Amino acid sequence: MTDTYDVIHSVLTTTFKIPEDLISPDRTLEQLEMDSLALAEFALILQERLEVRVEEEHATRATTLAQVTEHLDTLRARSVTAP
Amino acid sequence: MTPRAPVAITGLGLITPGGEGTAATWEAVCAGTGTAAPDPALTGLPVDFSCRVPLTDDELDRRVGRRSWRMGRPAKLAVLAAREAVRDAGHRPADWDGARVATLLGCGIGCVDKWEEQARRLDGRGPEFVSPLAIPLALPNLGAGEVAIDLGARGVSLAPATACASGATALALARDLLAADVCDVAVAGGVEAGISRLSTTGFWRMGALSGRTAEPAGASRPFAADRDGFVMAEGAGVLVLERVADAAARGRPPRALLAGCGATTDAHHPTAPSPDGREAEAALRTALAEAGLDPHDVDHVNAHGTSTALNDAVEAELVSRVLPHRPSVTAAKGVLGHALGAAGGIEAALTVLTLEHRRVPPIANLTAPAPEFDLDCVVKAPRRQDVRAAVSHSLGFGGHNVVLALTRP
Repeated sequence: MTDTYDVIHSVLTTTFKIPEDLISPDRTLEQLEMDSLALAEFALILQERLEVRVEEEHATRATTLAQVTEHLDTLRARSVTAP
Repeated sequence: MTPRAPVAITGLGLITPGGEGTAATWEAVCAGTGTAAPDPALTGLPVDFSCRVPLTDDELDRRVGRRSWRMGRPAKLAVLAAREAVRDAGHRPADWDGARVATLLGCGIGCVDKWEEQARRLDGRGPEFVSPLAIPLALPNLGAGEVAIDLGARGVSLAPATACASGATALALARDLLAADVCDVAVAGGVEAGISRLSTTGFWRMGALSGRTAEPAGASRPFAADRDGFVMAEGAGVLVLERVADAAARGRPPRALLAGCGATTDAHHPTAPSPDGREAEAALRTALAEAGLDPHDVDHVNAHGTSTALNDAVEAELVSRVLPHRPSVTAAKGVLGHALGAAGGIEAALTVLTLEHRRVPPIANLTAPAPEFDLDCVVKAPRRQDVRAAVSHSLGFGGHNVVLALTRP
């Protein structure tokens, strides 16, 4: 269990001012009204917080928060085990 | 020149270093105490103080709502001031014909603090770390753009940039667009939140800023013999304008009339005012002629009064030459500092309040004008005065001169 989802949750509430009750793992970014500009900023903030770079196709408007979390967890695991 | 039809001012919205909202700003300006204070963003610089709107970014965000994440501070201030002005005018954006609503918000420099932050990211960390918001945050027209989105105002919109006259230029344009039937309602004024380490240092290098670091609240002192420059400030001043007949038709008495506008250009120097003030005088005379006023009809001058040596000397000479009957003079920058592109909007709103309340706020930090100025400056306490006609001056780098003539309905 990582803190990835918690970080995503906190970025969505603090930076993007999304009401907490709208956020759940099965929501897509589109359902949270994240447009392309928002997604690009979202990716940059996650990169700074988690030190891994989200690939664009893993954070589209159709992606759910659970899927973003999973993708980031994979990247994070890889970066820890990498030599 | 034949007089032109006045337009009705039906709503005011202010967010300034004096406070959030028109009432708070008016109270602070009437109290006559400078609002400048040490600014943490400017720590370590030769001029390390400014006049800030007393709300943090978080507090602004809560008021603006969900779209605040993509806005710079100027856009947030603009949205809040515009909402207040529209509410005050009794308009409901849900009901109006947005295609006939114009948004004209002057802005001098835009969100330069965020721009500088992105430049540091580019240099320090590389292109991948530059925010995709770098451009929308910095564009000076995005105050107008976000206000239009917030209000559903789909008519003409623009952000005139005439430096420190931008807010007044927007109001003069609004009058013209209403007269030309290009719109039915104009949400117009100025916004600025351009206090940054580089902008402050740049103005300091020009010799434009007060260096009273030991006494910031006393630094801005328009028309004082010992004035030494202006104080950086931020804020927004937005007015709702409409044709007099339209305001009457919906049962809204105007708070005041914008009766005349004069705009001229020195064509002399990029930053220094023309020493003879002849073009500023032409702007004043045009505004009066359009309003059908003779110079001696002017009861009150809301001066540009920046507290710089040059501006105040040229402006004092202009007032005493064209208006020798000594109308009362105030200058809000003593209290609020110089909000650059917002100043013309803020000061037009304050002039409306003077007409309404028959009350002229004092110039902060002034006991008497410099002895060479033949001016009736209001000092120490507000003066009760039956002001029926007033002018508001705005003079900007670039040689822009804008004078608005306002009258009681």
